Amino acid sequence: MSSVTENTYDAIVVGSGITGGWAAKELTRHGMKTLLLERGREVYHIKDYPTAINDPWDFEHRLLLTVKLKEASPVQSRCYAFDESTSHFFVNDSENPYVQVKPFSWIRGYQTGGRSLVWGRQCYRFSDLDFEANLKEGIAVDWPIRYRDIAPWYAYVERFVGISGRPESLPQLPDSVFLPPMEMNCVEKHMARRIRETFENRVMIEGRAAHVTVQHLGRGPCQYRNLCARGCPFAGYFSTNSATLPAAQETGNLTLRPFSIVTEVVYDEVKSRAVGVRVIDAKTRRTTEYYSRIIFLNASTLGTTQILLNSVSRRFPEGLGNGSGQVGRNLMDHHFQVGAAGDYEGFPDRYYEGRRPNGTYIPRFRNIDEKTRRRDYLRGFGYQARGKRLGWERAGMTPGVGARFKERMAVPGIWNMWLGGWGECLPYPDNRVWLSKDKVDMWGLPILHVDCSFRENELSMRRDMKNSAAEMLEAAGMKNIRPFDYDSPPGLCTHEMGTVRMGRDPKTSVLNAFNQMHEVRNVFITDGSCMTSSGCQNPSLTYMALTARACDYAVSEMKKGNL
Amino acid sequence: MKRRDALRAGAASVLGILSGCRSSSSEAEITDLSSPQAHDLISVLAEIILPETDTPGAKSAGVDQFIIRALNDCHTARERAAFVQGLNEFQKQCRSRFGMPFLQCSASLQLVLVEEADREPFGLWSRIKSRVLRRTHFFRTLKRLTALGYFTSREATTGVVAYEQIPGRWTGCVELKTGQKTWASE
Ligand SMILES: Cc1cc2nc3c(=O)[nH]c(=O)nc-3n(C[C@H](O)[C@H](O)[C@H](O)COP(=O)(O)OP(=O)(O)OC[C@H]3O[C@@H](n4cnc5c(N)ncnc54)[C@H](O)[C@@H]3O)c2cc1C
Ligand code: SF4
Repeated sequence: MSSVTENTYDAIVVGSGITGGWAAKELTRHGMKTLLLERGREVYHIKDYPTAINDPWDFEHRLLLTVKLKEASPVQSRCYAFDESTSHFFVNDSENPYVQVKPFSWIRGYQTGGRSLVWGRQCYRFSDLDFEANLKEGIAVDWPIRYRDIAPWYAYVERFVGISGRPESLPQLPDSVFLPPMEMNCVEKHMARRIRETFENRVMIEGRAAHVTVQHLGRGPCQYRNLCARGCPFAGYFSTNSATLPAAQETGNLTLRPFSIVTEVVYDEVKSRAVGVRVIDAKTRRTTEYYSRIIFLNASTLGTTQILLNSVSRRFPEGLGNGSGQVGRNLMDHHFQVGAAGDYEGFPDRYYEGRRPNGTYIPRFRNIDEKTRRRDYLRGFGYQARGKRLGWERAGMTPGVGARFKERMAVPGIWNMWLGGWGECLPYPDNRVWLSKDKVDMWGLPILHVDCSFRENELSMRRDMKNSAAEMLEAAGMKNIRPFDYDSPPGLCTHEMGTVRMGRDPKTSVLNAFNQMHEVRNVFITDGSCMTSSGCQNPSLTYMALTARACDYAVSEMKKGNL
Repeated sequence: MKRRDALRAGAASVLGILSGCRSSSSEAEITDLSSPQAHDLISVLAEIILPETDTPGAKSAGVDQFIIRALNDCHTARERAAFVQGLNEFQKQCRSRFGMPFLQCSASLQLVLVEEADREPFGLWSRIKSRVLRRTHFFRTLKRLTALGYFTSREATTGVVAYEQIPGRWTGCVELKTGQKTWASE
């Protein structure tokens, strides 16, 4: 069967987003002939960033959302990064339906690079505070790894990604391997000093972001345009397209196949292993099978979950490797859009130059030790914080018209400071997804039902997130403090995770300590679905480190003949 | 404003209140934002908000076209209807107070009316009304779009606001230079 040999590789990677890009890079680096399957179109670095160097006036609607865009993508258009300049990197919602049993915003990018093109680039390590939390509190199941297991892999991916930041030696937020940080502006420096002076456990630090602030492995340096989500012609930030994919291609071992929708993993009952995947070609609608010795699923948390649930066999009637019944459960996302803003009357004679694609960060300071223990909730949150001087955008809300008004609005206004919290969400088994029994998408695939909500623990935490933000602004002498708590449906924070969790026991988890399926040893899953708890840190850095670690393990197991 | 005009405006606004419910005009109302009438009115209003000085004004920055495009493409039919209604009420008030269409009023009379319209949405009554009706005062919409269209225009970057396509650096804390303008975008 020549088509079988033709379609056979050492490894298959499903999805080319942040994690799939890493899997492709690591596997090809070890000499594995790797097929990278991506359901969306191909997006070439630079060439396919049509809006990257546009000026504000090049956009017909000056980036206001049109009704047409909102109607075509009612979910995607809720994402802060979605507008006229970036909408081509988000899915069309009407073509990609799912059922929201409760409000859940599933933010997706189906193309080479996935959401690595539009992501916010914030990168923070997890610590043992996170890896031990479930065990200590008796929540869900224990992580099968600890910080020491992942620490070298954090360093490994960071050296490649390039992360700007400053070492702070905080136990709850370990330092990364850093490139030079992006300094704070005057009001942020002021705020950071006042926080240190006023609160024992709190600090405000420069944001840690995947930007190469100096030339790094031929990329960058970042030019401080802050138009990153359009794609960066300077490769100033980390994306699959600018970094991992070119590295994988350079090995000569990669075959990238766009327009390839993986519908299921093919399981061989005789061999007791996965032998390949089934693919619908989005252009020809033809179905083909591809084969390999190992398979990495990196289709994003819910994409991967959908594939597993759709991969039914006699051995796995409830979905591939789902003997535990945990596939699709424990869906988490961070909750956000809560905090406070305030004005600062000082520094009238100070300003900044350039457009910083980053901000500042206040690491978790609740429940980090006995002294900071809360009675009203478990876990904690961090703030992303930003100071700026008001510009012309205040014109709409400022009284006045005419020549003097025009002049006034063109002069930098008052400083303000914005603090937004990102909070941990506990894993609840009934926050879950399942396949529709009767509804299919345009490819004939059963669509997902998503039933997910934040609970008492998250809501109690939100109250603290709002109050603590206001309290810190007050300590820094801010005026006109405005606490806020906007609607934050799960999903909107784009950190959805947990539906194929890692654990020690095959009865209660799907993946082992190396992201290998307990029940199907040659399938590895390293996107956000593997997460056992959510921490409050932006998670992609952790996904990347887990991916590189799992690839290393898979390759060594293959070499030992164990796979 | 000339003193005479101010007096006339004051008197007229008293008259306007008295005759407020006497809807008189037979002049055509604006029904369609794409009509020349609508365009002319919006264009004059935008220019009053951000006029030409030694730097370009709203009109020469093409803000009139932008406002209409934004209203047509980025607002719902309901929001558009509220905006058109606001424009018509504004015109009607002008006619009942000054006895002529807004576009025929002197510049100083126009300014009086626009300044009133500008203050109106800040008033308590108006704030209650727009909350209850869940409707934005038309002048607030107009001013927001005027500012957006203008300050992000190529024309505004020629001396009105500061703009660098590729800054190439981030310096967090610098001394504010004399004459330093606000950044066009952050
Ligand atoms: C606006 C925005 C801001 C963000 N900011 C941050 C941040 O600051 N820090 C952070 O850590 N994270 C951030 N994230 C989240 C981050 O983007 C994700 O965590 C990350 O992209 C997940 O990587 P992934 O590889 O699992 O999925 P993705 O990057 O989403 O890639 C999945 C890929 O799989 C493909 N695929 C899906 N289904 C199939 C299928 N059946 N067959 C074949 N291919 C398939 C998709 O087309 C896609 O290319 C942000 C996300 C967004 C949208
Ligand atoms: S800020 Fe840096 S990374 Fe972002 S688009 Fe500009 S140069 Fe690229």
